[in-house]
Amino acid sequence: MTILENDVIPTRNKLSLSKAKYKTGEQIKRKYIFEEDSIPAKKPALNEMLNGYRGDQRSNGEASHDAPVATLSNMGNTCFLNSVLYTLRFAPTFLHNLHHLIGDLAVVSSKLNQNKAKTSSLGRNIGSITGPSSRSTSSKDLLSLGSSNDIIPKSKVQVVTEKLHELFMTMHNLEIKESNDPYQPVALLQAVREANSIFEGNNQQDAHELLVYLLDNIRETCDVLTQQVQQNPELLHETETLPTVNSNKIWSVRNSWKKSLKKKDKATKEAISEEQVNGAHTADGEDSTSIDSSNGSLIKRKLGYNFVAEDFEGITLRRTKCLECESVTERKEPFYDIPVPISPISQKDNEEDNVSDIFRRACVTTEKLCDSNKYLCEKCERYNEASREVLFEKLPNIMVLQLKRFTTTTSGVQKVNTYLPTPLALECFCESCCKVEDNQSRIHRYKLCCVIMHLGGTMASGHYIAYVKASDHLEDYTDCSRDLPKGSLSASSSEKSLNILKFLKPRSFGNSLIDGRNGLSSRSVNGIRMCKSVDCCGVKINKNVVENVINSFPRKNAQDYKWHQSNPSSEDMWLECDDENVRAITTQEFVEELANKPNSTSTPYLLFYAKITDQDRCVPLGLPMAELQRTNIFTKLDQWL
Amino acid sequence: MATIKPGSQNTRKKVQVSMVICEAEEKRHRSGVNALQLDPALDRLYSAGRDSIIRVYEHERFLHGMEHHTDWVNDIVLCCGGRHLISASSDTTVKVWNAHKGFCMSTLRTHKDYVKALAYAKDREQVASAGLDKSIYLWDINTLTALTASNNTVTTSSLMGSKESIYSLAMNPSGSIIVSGSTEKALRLWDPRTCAKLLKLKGHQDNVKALVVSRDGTQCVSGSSDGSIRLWNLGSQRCVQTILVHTDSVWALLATESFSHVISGGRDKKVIMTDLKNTTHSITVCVEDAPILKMCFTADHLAVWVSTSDSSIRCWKLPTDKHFKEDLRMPTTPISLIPGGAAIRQAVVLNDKRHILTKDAHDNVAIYDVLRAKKVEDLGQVNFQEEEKKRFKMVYVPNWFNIDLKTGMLTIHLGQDEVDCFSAWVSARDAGIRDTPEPDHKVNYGKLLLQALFEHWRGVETDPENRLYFSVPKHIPLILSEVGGRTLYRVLVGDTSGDTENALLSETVPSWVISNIEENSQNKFIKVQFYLQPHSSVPSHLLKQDRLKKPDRLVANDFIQCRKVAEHILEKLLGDGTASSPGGDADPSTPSNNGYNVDQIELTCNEQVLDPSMDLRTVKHFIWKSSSDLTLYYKIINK
Repeated sequence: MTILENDVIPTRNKLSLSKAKYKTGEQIKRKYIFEEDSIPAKKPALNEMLNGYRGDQRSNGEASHDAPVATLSNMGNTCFLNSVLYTLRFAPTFLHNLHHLIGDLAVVSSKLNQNKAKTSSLGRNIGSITGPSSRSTSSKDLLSLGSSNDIIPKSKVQVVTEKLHELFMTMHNLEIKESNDPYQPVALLQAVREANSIFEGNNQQDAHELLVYLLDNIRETCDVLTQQVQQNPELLHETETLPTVNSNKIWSVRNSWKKSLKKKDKATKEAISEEQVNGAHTADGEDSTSIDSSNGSLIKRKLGYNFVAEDFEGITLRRTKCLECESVTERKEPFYDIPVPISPISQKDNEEDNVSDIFRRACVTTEKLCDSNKYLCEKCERYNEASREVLFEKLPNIMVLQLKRFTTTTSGVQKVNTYLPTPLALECFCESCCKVEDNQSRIHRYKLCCVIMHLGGTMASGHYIAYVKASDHLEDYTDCSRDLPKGSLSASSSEKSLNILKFLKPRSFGNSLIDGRNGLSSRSVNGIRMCKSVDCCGVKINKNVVENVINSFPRKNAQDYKWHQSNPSSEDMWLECDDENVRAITTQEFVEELANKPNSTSTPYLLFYAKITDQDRCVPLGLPMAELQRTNIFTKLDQWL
Repeated sequence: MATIKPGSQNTRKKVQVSMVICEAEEKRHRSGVNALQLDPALDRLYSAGRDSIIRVYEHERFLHGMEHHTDWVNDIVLCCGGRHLISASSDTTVKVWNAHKGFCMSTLRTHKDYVKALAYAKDREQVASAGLDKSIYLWDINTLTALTASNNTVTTSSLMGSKESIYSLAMNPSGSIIVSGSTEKALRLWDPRTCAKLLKLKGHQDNVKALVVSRDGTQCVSGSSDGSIRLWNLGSQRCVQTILVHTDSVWALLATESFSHVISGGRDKKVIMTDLKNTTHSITVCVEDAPILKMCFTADHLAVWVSTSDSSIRCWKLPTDKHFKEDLRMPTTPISLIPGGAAIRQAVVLNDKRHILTKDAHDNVAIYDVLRAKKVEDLGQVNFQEEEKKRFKMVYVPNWFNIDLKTGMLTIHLGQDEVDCFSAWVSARDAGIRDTPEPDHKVNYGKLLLQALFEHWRGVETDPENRLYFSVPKHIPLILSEVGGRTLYRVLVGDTSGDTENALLSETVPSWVISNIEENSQNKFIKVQFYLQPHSSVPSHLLKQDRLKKPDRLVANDFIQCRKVAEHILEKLLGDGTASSPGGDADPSTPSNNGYNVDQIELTCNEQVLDPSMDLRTVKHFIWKSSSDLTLYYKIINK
């Protein structure tokens, strides 16, 4: 288009793996930020140049081989697996919690093994764990402790959970190396197939079924851990009664801090020199020690913390009222996902109704039990008519809506391609939010974080693509009570840092995250300590690739969207994950992808929404940082809609 | 008695046989009373019970019961100057009764679901019935009372348009307007003369369960589960008053003749009288012990009879103008009381699958014998759970009947889905039958009960050689109905010999009953499969060679006792090494092979020693505790 484009990024495809390209990207980005922050007037001009370049390149068919994140290759009908893995990886808080589960498992099993083996004296044992000498405990060691010299046999379920974590570690390493080679998640698939025969064979499977299975698996693993802790209360006592812990604490913590910093460098080097391939990555030595050196009650709280139940599980409330005696019975049931029946929406509905109402009406239902389906009332001791409400006492932090696209008819399973809007933000429809008057704001809200699309006419022949919000989810790793060494960060100091964050615009916070180099990011961002697990299995988005897309965003369509007043930022980005092809797209492109296309068989199937609790109301326990950030993002989303 | 069966009857549905275990005369209501009607001329009070019986009280004394319904009676209407009574029931029928003599004249089976409400237009002798099938039928009473067995067709006009189940209905005496209340949360109006749908009144937030229309048909009062009472002006189609005096659902309404006051009752157990001209004036008439279901004026209109979901009916004095003006308190005791009985609220079938432990609303515990259809023991107010534990016997008998308590009385169903009524074979000894033809004679509970129920019916010839072991009292109602559906026929056991009854039974008794109650019918025993394995202590030289290789999979009747199994082991499995067995008819009591006798064979299952008198199904159920094939181990002990 313009001559300028060649000056900006020369011969891009050749540089895809080199450090030179890396630098170029950085330069561009710095320039961009500079422009934006100080000379806003010039911004459009620059953007036009960049956009021109990008648009040209794409029209030339030179599809980028640069993936912003590590990719998974299709091993033959495994897109169902890949789409779920991408989704879980980018689901808020998931990676971080999974990491700690694996860490806790390793700690507990190694302790149990020690207790059983009794090879050395008790005091020495504990000293070796809690003391600074245990720095060498890498995640590899922890895992091997759990697998090879394990006295307690490991269940297939636990193996699946561990393989899942290993896969995420591998992907993290690939991202650090900026490798674009797709990875084959063979080990995980193997473990899944071994644990559950329905996934055997090379057939296409239901992504939803796999998702529920994996979540169940992790929950079961959590339960095993909790059981082990309950059955062996001495695990908690040993550390509590150890007198040396307190005296050594501060020193050991400081030491570990320095050491791990050094180790970080080493780890990065190793990663770059391509020595570590599968799950061997040093990062979380502190994990075990911080847990050990803290007091017993904390361990009790944190060990076996069932994050699946916490984040993915909601509670439905089935309220049945006998129409004769009018007594009400309530039944509560936990759930992972909400099936959303798809009924054709009239044009009128679509335009006038709040999109959230469509989902609320589909999920919060009232049914009358009558005719041959009467209700056996325990009080009347007979079958009477009854009304049955299905509502949600609690909706999960990560709410999965399963659109009922597959219906069983006499001629087999058929797909419903009827369009249902996929809002980027959704009003909460839990019981307490439904009680809120229309003119008042609800207690919770949801924003879209991942979508699994199903393409094709049938379940057996179709294809799955995942769309995920492009985010490192670094906010998940801040203020992690399970990682930060106790004593070094007092309550007041953490509060202070939180206050700092409050004043930070999410935009600048996001940029500062981008500044943290791949693989070199320190655990301290703006003075906020990050849980070290971010360097074990966290997501590392290649910012350059994303920035290129942002910069090359075609301006010409911008006017079509009333909400789109400025260029997309890194927070507006989504990743389209189609097996080994992962590309960054803007929210605008994503919305277009979701829009109603007549006669299209590519339809959203699983929608993942992350919960946002309004600031002025009570902030739930857990990650206040994350809440702050999400709320800010949400206000933005709110403007778009 | 005439039976009206409009439309084709679907006879494909399986027919079940039921009986109600009751006293010869059930003088008291067993459960709630859904409706009340007063005949002022004779001072008779008619009450419609949830126990399916309509009872008549003259001067507050029990006169007689009107029994023919098989489920809750939901509403009754006294018409033709007190000569006839119309009743609506959850058995989906509407019945026409001779009120004075108390017999059922005809049964209307037009409704397809529970009939919940009736409305009466006195001037035109018209009655309307409505229910959960959403339809309203209009009946001419003079036609209904003229029905005979030969002239058994009646035409009805139906008022269609209701979109949901109807729970209340009202008509003015001149029959110019009919109002229905339903789960639509709205009132619907029709003109009964033209059957034309008039209008719909919205306003209530929940089901409308009670309605009254003024004499001239211009006003209407509705009571709803939303807790409110609304006064409607039907001419202007508006709600003119909303009365909020109850703290819970309003279930019953009554208006004074001049429509000046409304009396309401509901789930909050209160009866409240409200001045319709000034709705802030309301007086609590009484507070009952249970939710109010219905009210009716006494002959002098100075008091009301109140029925509740409890079985007693009380009469309470109504406030007068003086009470309203001076805001006086009402007396806290009723003027009169018709005491009710206790409904059975809890029932557990004991392990022998013959006796039922029950607990009634007054916490009395009793034991019933299903085979004799009567109460056999009153235990008084004892702990139900403890009694159940105390009576636990390690005996397993398969289920062969279902019970239900919807009427407050024990109802036994035979032939319902998934329960094989002929599955329970027991030894005559266990059944308490002394003079049996042979010592090990087996009897079938289901068959015994059916034989007793149809004893007097001449349709089935029972083998004269076989005596009846059990008989059922003649007053026991026998009910034939579609499984999970409508009642086909109800008759007392003692009446089955009558000509009419005999003919009707021949039409309705299902073939599965007839083929099985005949004595010479094939006995189909329930089989159990099991393995026999020698304990390691059994010397191998004792075992026949081929027995060493794999365990035997055996099949036997489920009531076979362990002693029989031991006999089999002795006879067939413990041999002298030769393959052939020395005849199967060896006397088990005499020393057999290798000098061992039956008492020396010890059987174990799940490492528990089995009593020789225990049968295989009991072993499987209580010791093996699995649906897989039973495995028994045997060893030889020295005695």
